[in-house]
Amino acid sequence: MMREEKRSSRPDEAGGSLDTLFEALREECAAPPPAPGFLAGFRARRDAWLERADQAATWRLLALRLSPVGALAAGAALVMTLGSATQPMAPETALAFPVTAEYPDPFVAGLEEAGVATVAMTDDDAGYELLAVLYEPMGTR
Amino acid sequence: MPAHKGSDRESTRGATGVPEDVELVRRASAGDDAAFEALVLRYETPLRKLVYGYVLNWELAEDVAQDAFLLAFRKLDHLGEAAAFKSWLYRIAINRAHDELRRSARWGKRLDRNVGDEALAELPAAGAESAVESRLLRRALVRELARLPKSQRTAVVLKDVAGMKYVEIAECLGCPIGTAQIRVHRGRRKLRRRLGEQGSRAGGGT
Repeated sequence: MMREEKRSSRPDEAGGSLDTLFEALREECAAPPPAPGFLAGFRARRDAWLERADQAATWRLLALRLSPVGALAAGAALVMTLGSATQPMAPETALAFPVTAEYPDPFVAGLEEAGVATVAMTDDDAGYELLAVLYEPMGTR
Repeated sequence: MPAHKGSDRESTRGATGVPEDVELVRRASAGDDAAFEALVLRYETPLRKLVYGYVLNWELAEDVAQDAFLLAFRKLDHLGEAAAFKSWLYRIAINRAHDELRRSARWGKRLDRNVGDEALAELPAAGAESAVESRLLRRALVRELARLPKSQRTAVVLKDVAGMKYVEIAECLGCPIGTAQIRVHRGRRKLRRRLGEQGSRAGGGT
């Protein structure tokens, strides 16, 4: 019984039903509720984005100051340092330096001078390529 | 955007004493935040209406519209022609609405909530049965709209929900007017067929 009644007003029964449905949707769209906080909401989003952009710019600047290789070396050294903190390495098992080369980055050079890490690299046409960062525990050199 | 130069789009209409879009966009591009906020105030309501046609939820429409304005603010220097701000902004909003629908698995729930509540609240005072009937029909319509290919759905929503002219739709979609007309026509045809099939199934009990 109900089905019969529903059937009578299904959209495709009459060509104009789809238009009627759209008309109802248009009426909804035509009367949006007031949004007094819209501009304030936009400002909040904009300010948050500007703040994030400022922070990102700071990190970008820092990353530029560290060369890509230097940043990679620093990250690897940090990971290895943290990893070795729980497993102290005996002096006799200290790693040897398979390859060493001068690297102009003062940051990496500083790491080596401090005895924190040794950076092994190869020098080819494309420039320096990092092969490995070998952790050397302090005082084992 | 070919063939639309003669259109009377709002963005180039100069109201007395009110800066045109072009002027506001230029000032905003130069770092004048107040100018961009004037654009926000100008297009806030039309944009919310447009997005509502997709998401059928005013809160979400506001959210998406604000996001669209933020994106426009961030990418303002990518806007080639200042006079095209309105259609560019609409395009951003449409894409954001699509992203939102795609990302959100809440689509079905929204249909239930909105077509069942917001839309129902505006129905004329008729019998409960006809209210339920209308609710079911509108839910079916919105569900089928969501199933249309993006290009057709966008065109149909812009035409039949947002009530835009073909020339404006073509501007928003960045296509010729004829293409916009074809997309609307095909989208409507699919809707009629699918809604008709549903009606037949429901009516026939199969």
